[in-house]
Amino acid sequence: MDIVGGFLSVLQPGHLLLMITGVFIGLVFGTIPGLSGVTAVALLVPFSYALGAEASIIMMIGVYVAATCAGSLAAVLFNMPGDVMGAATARDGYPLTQLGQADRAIALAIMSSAIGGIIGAALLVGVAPQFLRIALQFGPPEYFAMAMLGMACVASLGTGSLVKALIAAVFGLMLATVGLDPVSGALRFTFDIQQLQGGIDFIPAIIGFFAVSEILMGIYKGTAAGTYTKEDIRKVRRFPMPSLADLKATRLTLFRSSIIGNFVGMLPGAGATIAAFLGYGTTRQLSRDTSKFGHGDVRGVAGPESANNSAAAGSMVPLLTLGIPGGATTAILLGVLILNGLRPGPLLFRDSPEVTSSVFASMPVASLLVFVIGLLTVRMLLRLLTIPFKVFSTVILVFAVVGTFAIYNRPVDLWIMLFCGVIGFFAKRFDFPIAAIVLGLVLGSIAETGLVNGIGVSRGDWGVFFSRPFTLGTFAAAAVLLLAPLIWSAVGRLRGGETEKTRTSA
Amino acid sequence: MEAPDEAGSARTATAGRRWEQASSWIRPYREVVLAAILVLVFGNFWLRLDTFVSGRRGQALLDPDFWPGLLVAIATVLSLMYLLLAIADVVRVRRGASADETDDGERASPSLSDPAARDVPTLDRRLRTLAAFALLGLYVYLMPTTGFVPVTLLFTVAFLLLLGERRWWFLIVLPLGVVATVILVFTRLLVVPLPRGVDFFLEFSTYLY
Repeated sequence: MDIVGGFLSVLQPGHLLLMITGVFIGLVFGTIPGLSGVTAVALLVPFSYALGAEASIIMMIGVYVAATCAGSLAAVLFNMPGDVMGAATARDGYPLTQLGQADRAIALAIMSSAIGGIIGAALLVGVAPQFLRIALQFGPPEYFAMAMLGMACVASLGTGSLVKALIAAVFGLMLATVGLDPVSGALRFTFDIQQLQGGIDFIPAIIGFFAVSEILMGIYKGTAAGTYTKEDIRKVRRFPMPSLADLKATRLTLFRSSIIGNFVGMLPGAGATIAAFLGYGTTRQLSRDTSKFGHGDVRGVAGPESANNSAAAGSMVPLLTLGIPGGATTAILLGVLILNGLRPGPLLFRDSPEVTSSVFASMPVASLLVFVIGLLTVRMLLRLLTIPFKVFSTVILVFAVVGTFAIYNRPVDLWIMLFCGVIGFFAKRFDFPIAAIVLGLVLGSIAETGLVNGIGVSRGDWGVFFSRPFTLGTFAAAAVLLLAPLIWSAVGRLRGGETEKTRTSA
Repeated sequence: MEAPDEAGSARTATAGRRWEQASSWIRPYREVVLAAILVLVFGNFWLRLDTFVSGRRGQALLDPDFWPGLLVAIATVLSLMYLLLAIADVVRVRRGASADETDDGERASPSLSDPAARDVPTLDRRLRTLAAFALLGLYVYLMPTTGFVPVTLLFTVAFLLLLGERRWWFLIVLPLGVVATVILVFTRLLVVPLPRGVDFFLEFSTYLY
């Protein structure tokens, strides 16, 4: 792997300008509640026709890294996270703002993100070649097992009900079966609509699930976007600077959370949100003095922020080495590579080494840019929160429709986007995790191909899925993930019952 | 489309209250109704799988309906579990037991006892959401016929009106700005084609992009 070549490519003026643009777009989309990095990356897909694979991936990584960081800005200042992972940072970030230290919290959040991103990128360079070695030995059963592990992760690591998460995941897998079956040529769930024979492409679906449903939900429930005034934003200095003392106080947290976040990011289905909450949780549990957590502890800001950005780097490992995306954003990156005639997987390293080394080099460069641009534009970014909802929702909907159409020039994609927007709206309304539906849709064909080919290779012997050590281990991990929450709650109930008994007997 | 006022007129407010009263009895059963619908939909797919999957069976080791069949079967079983949990939730709430005291384990609706979840949007908001769905549907429906520019101008004006924008200059500037930006970015910068429409609209579009 030619890392130096990757850096030289990323630092070319044209590529660097694209990355700066990407970082800026990511910061904007991450800051505004209701918009996310996924939406930004999805809306940029048509640009890849003009830019080519390498340049558009560089730009999208800029968006991804920046949006992962920017979700915490509004979370820290107003306890109003720009995205779900910001909620972990808000727990200690918002109390710091209440103590009058908004500058300190925001500067620390941006610095932690950058450090997390850089550590994550370093780990990526170290881990990916090892992963590649394993990936080269992967057969269909292993791909099936990895897809199942992803589904188990996304279903069990979420916050709400496990049954709902599983229904969402299976529904996503069902969406992936729509259209012409590539193996047998059978038509499945096309309802006699000819245009559905091509199946449900995941990019229009992701735009529907993330952009359209989010805006409809904003109309339905109301949103905090646009309700802030310029005075609210003056709580932060124009150019907040992180302090060395904070860096010193959080150095261990930063390092530990980055490593945890990176490995969580590598798991398909886990991703940056779960990394943020794990980063917060482990920081709190492993600290000697936990009294200040929840009341404005700097470690509670550094933990989740470094973990989620490091996870963004980690999520590149399964994407590049196996061609398995772990979430919506990486799924879009996969889509962009495919649109440009590349096939992610072990062979990508041999066939298009310039793309893989650019991805590796983009991560640390994007993190540094987020650090610099983020700190310089904090006030301007926060001023975005004064833009009325009606303005940006109108603009985003038009771009969603045009962007969806522009990818393949098929009107049916617009209907798919709308359908997914409606499904996403009701899923949100009833607390079904959208991430699970999307991952099901993305991993559906990988899972089915793995299953069908696995059975084909073994001539009908189902034992092939359980006789190899890797698949066995993966299935075991998936089972543990699914059963653990049930066991935990059962144990908790037993313990609760015991303490009640002792209380009544006393 | 007639758009309601930003604050909601007095009439819709009264209608909203009446709607709230009329619909309040069904609210506790909402999850049960949804679960029942899911059972019916997935169950229908499962039982009538043959009608949804065409193609020959017995050609390969795994038929084309094996994987979808497995999925709909799992989905049906899961929705049945969801239905049972939702019914259990309703029973629990009916008995008057506060959910916080009973358990913290697996429940269909963690938000049933959450006061924030009971904060139901008014009729005004619901109508707006419905109208937004309809507008978006109309936008997508008309796009292939009229092309990008006319329908986008109409959509943006209607959508802004729906969300309560009443300043006339704003209703002109933003739609024109959005349309101009999209044309510039997509057709000039990226060379990505935009829908042109048919007949008259096709000719009209050639003047713009």
